[in-house]
Amino acid sequence: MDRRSVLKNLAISAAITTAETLMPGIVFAAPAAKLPSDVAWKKAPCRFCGTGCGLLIGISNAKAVAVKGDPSSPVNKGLCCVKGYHSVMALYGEDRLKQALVRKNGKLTPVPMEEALTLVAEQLKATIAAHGKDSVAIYGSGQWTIPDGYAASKFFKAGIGTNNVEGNARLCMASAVTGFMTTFGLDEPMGCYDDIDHADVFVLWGNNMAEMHPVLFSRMLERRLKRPDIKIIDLATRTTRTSQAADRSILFLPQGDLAIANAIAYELVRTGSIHHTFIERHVSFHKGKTGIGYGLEDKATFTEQAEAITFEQYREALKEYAPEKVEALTGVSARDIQYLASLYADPAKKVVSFWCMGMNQHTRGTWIQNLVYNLHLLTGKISTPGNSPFSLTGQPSACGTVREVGTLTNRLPHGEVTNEADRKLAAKIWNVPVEKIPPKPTYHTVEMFRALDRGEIRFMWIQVTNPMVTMPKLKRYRDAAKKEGRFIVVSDVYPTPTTDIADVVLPAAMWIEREGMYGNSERRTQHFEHMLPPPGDAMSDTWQLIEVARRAGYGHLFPWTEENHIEEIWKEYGKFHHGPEHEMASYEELKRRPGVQWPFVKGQETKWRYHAKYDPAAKGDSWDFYGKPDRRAWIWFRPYEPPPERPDRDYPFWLNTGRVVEHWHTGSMTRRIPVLHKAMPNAYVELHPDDAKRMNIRTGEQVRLTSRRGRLVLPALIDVRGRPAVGQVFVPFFDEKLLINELTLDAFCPISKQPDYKKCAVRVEKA
Amino acid sequence: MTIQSYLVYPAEGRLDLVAESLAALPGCEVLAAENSPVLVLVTETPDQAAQRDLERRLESIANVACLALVSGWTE
Repeated sequence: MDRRSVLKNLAISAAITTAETLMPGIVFAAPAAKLPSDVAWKKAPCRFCGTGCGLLIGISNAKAVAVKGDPSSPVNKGLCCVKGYHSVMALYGEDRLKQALVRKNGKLTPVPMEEALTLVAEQLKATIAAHGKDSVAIYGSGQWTIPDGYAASKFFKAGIGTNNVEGNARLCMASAVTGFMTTFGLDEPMGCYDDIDHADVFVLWGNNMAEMHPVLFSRMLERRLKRPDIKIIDLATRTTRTSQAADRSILFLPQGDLAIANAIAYELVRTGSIHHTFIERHVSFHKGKTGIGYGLEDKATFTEQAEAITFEQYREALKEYAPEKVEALTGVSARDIQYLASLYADPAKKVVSFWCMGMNQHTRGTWIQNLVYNLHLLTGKISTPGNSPFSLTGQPSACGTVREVGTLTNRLPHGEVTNEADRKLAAKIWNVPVEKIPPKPTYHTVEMFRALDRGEIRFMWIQVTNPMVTMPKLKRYRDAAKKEGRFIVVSDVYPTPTTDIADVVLPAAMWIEREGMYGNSERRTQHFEHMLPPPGDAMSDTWQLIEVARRAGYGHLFPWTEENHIEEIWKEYGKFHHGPEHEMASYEELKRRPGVQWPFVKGQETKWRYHAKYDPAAKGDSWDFYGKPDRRAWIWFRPYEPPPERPDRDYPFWLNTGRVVEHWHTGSMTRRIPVLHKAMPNAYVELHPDDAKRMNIRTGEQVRLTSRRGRLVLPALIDVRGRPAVGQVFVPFFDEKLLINELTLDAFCPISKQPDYKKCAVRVEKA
Repeated sequence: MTIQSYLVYPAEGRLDLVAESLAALPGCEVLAAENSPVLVLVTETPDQAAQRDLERRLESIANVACLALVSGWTE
């Protein structure tokens, strides 16, 4: 089958699948005749976003010739979004990296893969010899498969003996992790996507689901279509496609969400709408440190001190947040806050709160997660079908790899490096002395790049991510990577601004060109088989790590063959999670099913955690928050605190950054799919029409944005996609030619260390 | 070369007419649903000029209630 036929079949398949989704039962006679007779349909999770839609990939003659939604997947039930339907086209961009490249005389030059792998291993050893084991680091992502992340963690933590392991999920969902940990003592949601089929009210906290999680958004709209009384509330700082589909759109001022959540809690308490029995039996009250800073200084540290408080003390603290008192702070009327409170309060209504980057990328990201959990805990609306505070994920395996495998400086595949029992378990499974695993975390992501700048880190291996587009305050970290005496290895599938600064580029096998597993937002692990040969010398990230580890003297940690290593890794990794709280499905089970939700105990998936009716780890006959020593969920009092940078006379606008439906993150794959590129060819700045009119700016005209970090000129877009509030602008970050992160601030939540990409101050001028 | 696919919703009672008009255009193939008045249109053009010309001709076809682009590839 030639390339033209492949593309034509993909186009036909996409159209038919869309028709089948829009009109269930529709039948086309022709498609079978249009596809080659030998097409084999194989299951895989979509590799764009954390929803984890099930796909069926049509393979013929070692080519992906078609894609459609997997009707047997409980995630998407046959539906896909525009990225999913075009996903396999991302495999076939003209400039796929097929050969290893080594920088020689300033220029990246093709070399055999063997030579590049050996060079990486030698440079790694030489750097450790000259500067110590903490001078080398690996930086991956939530697009790492589970075996990729496991191999990286084992290589660096058990082999080299450094905790210099991080993933870009630190930029994406670290606040979700610390939110879960501080409130429940265990990471990841208690509920699942089935909550959509049971809820009466959806409150979206700074979450443009229509563009970022379109399949889940469609499921929500379908639910409302069947039950018109169902309410969708968009609580956001910007009007988006989500707002247009919502029953109510309530705009708030940046950072105002902290005060809104407390004001809703105040109303719940004031009106007696709290669930007294649930609170008495299943909740305890706490407060933590305040005035905790923003991590703007190098080597900033923070240690939380939790203090138990009484319900009375909590109620007293909330009095500062009476709806009338916070109107100026939030920009939301007391009446709207009371309306929101009434939705959480109504005992007859089941409530789901959804959020993603709006709450995660926040200098008080951990706090706002705590505060939204408070609303569900005050009302007992949690861990039962349709009652769910639900943190959505950005990347296909941010949960499965970064959070569950623990590819973060502080984590292990089970637990924390600071915990002796967790280190002992890891040492036993990895068959290394426990002393090999350092007991202290080293650098979180922002600090890791700062350490590269300072010269404490000299060697960095970057896999499956594009930090030279995504790091905030980008210039500092790009300059750091280019400094003399730094050695940067980049594994990727296409050239990017990050491969531009590399000393070695390793071509990577992409997605279904190798075997792997992803874990999605609802604790679902999904396996995909090796369906296609990777192009040229491209090699999976897992196997690259193993090849380099062997060359560097750590081969004993990876005693597997190229044929069996994924299965063996899964079996070894599973030992970390034995028990009813996190039991994983077997390799064979994963291969058989369109994903399995953990805990997977006695052949049963767990849809809702922390309730004995659904969760095999829960004791008693109702809720049991077993992640905390007191077996209670913690309600935290967290105050409003302002962001580190606010608009002023010199920089009078708020800058908010984010994504668009057409592109996956930095666009390195989706911008190579012509129809997606054509639909959204470049970044832009959105302005409110009143601001645009005042400055005489029209759509398409060039606008200069300036912050204290940098400046950028890009075209204006007014009332085309979204509408920021007056005094705010929005810019998407997918465009490597228009790098908005030159302007953003590297302030982060001191607890999660996740940067805030949603709030900094800029000047806006017609260029 | 540009390859695109569309879903085409003809005006009521005009399915056959629209299918014939589309099939008569150069580089166009039409697949009809068996049980619903919906067409899948697949187009193939050699270059940008031909693509622009085809898009103009598609827009001028009568009795089309909706023409929705689903997928596309250009190289």
